[in-house]
Amino acid sequence: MSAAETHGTLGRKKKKKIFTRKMQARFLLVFCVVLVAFFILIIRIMILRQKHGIDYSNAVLSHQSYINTNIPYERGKILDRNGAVLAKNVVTYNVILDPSVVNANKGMFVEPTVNAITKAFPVNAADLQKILKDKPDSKYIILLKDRPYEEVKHFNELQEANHKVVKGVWFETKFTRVYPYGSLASHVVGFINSDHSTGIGIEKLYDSYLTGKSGRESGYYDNELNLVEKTWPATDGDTVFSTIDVAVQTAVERHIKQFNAEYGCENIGVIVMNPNNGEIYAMASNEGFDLNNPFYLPEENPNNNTQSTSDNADKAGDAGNDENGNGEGDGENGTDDENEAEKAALKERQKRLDAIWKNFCIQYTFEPGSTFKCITVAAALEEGAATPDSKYWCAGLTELDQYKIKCNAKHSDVTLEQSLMYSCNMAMIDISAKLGKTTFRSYQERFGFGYPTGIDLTAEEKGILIPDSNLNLVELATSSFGQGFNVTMVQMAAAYSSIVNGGYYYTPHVVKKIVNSEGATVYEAKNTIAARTVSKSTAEFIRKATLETVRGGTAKKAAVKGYDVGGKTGTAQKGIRSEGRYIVSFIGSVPAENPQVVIYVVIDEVHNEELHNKSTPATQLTSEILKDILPHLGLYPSDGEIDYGVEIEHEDEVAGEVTGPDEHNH
Amino acid sequence: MAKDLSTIKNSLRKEDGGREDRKKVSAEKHYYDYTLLFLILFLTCFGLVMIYSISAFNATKYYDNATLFVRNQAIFAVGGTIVMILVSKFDYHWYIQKFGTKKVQISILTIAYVVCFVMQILVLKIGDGTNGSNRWIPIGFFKLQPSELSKVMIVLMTAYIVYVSPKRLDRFSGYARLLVFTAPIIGLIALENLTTAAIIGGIVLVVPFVSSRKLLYFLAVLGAVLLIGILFIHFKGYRLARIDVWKDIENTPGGYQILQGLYAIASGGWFGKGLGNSIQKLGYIPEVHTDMIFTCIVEELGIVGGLLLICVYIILLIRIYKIAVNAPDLFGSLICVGVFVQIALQAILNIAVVTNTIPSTGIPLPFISYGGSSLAFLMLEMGLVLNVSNQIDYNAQLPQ
Repeated sequence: MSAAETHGTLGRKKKKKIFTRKMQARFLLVFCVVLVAFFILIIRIMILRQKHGIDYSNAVLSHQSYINTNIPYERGKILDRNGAVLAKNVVTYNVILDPSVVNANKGMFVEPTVNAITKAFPVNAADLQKILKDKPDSKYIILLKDRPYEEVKHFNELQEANHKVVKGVWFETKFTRVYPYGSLASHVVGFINSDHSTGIGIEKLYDSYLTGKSGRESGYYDNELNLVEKTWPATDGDTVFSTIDVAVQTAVERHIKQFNAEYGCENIGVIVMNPNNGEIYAMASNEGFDLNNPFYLPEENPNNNTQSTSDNADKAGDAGNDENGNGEGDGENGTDDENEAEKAALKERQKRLDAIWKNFCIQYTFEPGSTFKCITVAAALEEGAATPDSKYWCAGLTELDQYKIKCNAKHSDVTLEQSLMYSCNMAMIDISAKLGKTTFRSYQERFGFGYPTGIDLTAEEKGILIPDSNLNLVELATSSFGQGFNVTMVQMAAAYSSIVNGGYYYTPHVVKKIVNSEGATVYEAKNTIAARTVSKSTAEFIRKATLETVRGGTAKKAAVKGYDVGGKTGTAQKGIRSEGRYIVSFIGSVPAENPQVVIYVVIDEVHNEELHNKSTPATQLTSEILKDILPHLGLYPSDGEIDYGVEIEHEDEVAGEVTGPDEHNH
Repeated sequence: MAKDLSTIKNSLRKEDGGREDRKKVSAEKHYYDYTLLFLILFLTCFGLVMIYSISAFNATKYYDNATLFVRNQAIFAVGGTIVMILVSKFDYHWYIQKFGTKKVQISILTIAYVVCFVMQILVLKIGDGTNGSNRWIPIGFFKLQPSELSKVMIVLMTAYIVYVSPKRLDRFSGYARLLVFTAPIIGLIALENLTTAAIIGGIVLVVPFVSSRKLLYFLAVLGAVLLIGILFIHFKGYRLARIDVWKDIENTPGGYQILQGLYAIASGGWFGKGLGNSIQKLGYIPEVHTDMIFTCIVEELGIVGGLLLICVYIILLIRIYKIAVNAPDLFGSLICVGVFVQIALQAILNIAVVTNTIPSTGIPLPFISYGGSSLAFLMLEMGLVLNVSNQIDYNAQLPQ
């Protein structure tokens, strides 16, 4: 303890020195001076706030736009499988008005500036004058949004000619999404609104790839107080290559339009896909909607000229936001009742929009009907419940649990192949009875029914199977020919593809690969097999049977000259049986022996008294579509000629293929 | 002395009831000012939070590492805390204990004095220019600011000289004796950093003022110091320019930094924009995380936040004041007075500069501003104060 010793020595030598009372008082005096100093500083801070608070806060706010500017990124493009542009961007300009500048100098800038603006842009002088009068000191007003380059150029020329008096207008550049093909493949390509909240299709699902990163331009002062500017460039979004083929999609949509013009229907959906990897070539759902203006409702056009509609027409991408903005703005002025009505109207409008955005191919479930027979037969062959040589007896009618089930005709003796060719319900009932309900259900699931296929589109439905507990004799029987449970088009197309390609279930998809702005591939759809469904021999049998169905069975009208088309028709009753509403369909593959293309056409309630319960519209439409698209997909007719005039055979198809359990029969 | 006092008190106790056991136990017990320790750590941690909030933008921008500054500061904060706790366990009399042969006797303080002197000369020659003036000596990875060490040394030196013979200060010659020792160092520091010299000058002025019984000649000395300061300003051109800036901050080009700081303070409002929401930190205020940090604290936490921070400083100063009053001897008290003066001056001058109350000059805000050397040496000084507190005897604390 040397310190203690020192202490001790010092203490002993002289009288111990302490911090006397007087010193303490002096120190207290110093402390008081310090407190006074702190007090003065606090007062000083408050005075600063009081005196300059508003000025200085404004100075701080002005910094944001002055030195830090945002550089917009370009959203990634969406291309079709051959590089045709489905979605791209164009540079547009927001017109910014600075009334404080326009009104400066005793108003001498007002008239020439207003003149120049009204000449170049679609805005009227009175509105402009009103803004200048109402907000004379404002520094930033967005006058117009998304104006094209031509208008801006025009204005710049006007301004140059008169640069001393045309003042207080500038432009913000911005990218606006453009869909060159308009409504083509609208449900697949999709759209997204500016705040990325509402959207469908690829635009919505692949938003994280398509969205880039904004850049920044910023200035700062160094030690010598020089302004140094620095730029961080924007990273553009990735380019998405779709599996869609514009040529195929165009042909499909053209035929849908033609069909609607000729017959009309409630809904129509067409899927064209590659069975060997799950790529969708075309997916059409009704006639689509204009992607450049997805918030537009056709029925609003003629007599509705409210603000919100014209706004929506102007700026497609922002429409979702603007609408809310307008809704609130109007609500403030109106009474509560008006407010309620407004809300209800908005809700109603949203409902109708949702309806046109609905993708029939993946979001609509229906009873597949006889097309499902291929799956029942395939399952039976797999399980040994049937062999290619099996024979069945069709009396045209059978009774199960007091339910009468009819066939489309009395087929008498039918082979397994003929049961598909003539679409015999009695054979199916026998087959499914042999399979048993557990096995039947396990095959339904193996083929992906009751589950979403996982296609890369938004809001896919999964269909509805009959619950295990309810799958009794009658339900099993009707299920065997595709009635009583609901599927989506894409489930059916994927399941059928997996049979004809030899038993490999590929997840259907609409995006092939994604390439970033530097050209590197960041995502590639892997053609991995999601499941094995059937064996090669079963596949072989079904391919042959479907070929025969088109050659000599119910689907003759699906034939295309020069091609071997294989396929199966379907006519399913919809809803309450007595209403007699039908969904007709055809699913097929080309070439039948080695399928490269699978096509599925579903027509919901054909608007035609004679044809509404016949599969003819579906087979005919398929044939017409196939004829146009096959050469695009590299499949040429065997005679080397593309035939533009298929003869339509006027052979009556057997009516009422399926008559399910009829409530009125007992 | 402490023992003397305790003997007296013990005898008083004996008269009371003579409980010797209790006396023995309590005689061993020493006080330790945990409140002060807590305040120091609180301020340091608060500083780290604010440095992170305020420097993250610039650190990302220039170094691509948002946590660069806060990490560096945290290393010094941890190191400083360790140093502080070690120093607080070393008897402060140890620094003035003489050792050596009978003829040549030196103390650690003497060695420190010589080292500071040499380094202050050295820094003028080889110093690494950071802000126009040469203030740093690079030692390996670490850049030492010798004036920080000099501050500690002067606190001890002044306290020691006054402690040896407080009565001498009643005459001017006694004060002159103190100046003979300290003036050369202050002069050397003033050559490269007038502000630090002024703070050290403040210590050398206030400590004798507190211990002397005379008042008048201190005012004379104060006048003389001011005169010297003004002369100095005339020699160094750029310092004069700062006065022009101070007079008309909004229209003088050199006022950019302070003006931006004022924008920050005035735009914060009563409760501020919220932690992390300062706009002025985004490249507008140069040196925002060092000397200008108070402006962004007010911008983010508001006038109320700034006020609370000042309150914490005042509470810290009250603790140091209490320790000085209760210290076991005059030397300890005067160390506390020296440290008190330094912290009070730094805090007041820093806030005065950023509010444009006085012409601009570079002083870090104690415990908060970014700067490792400043923080580490401040903590070292707080270690000294804590050691003084540690030597307060509980028995001596009984009513006098």
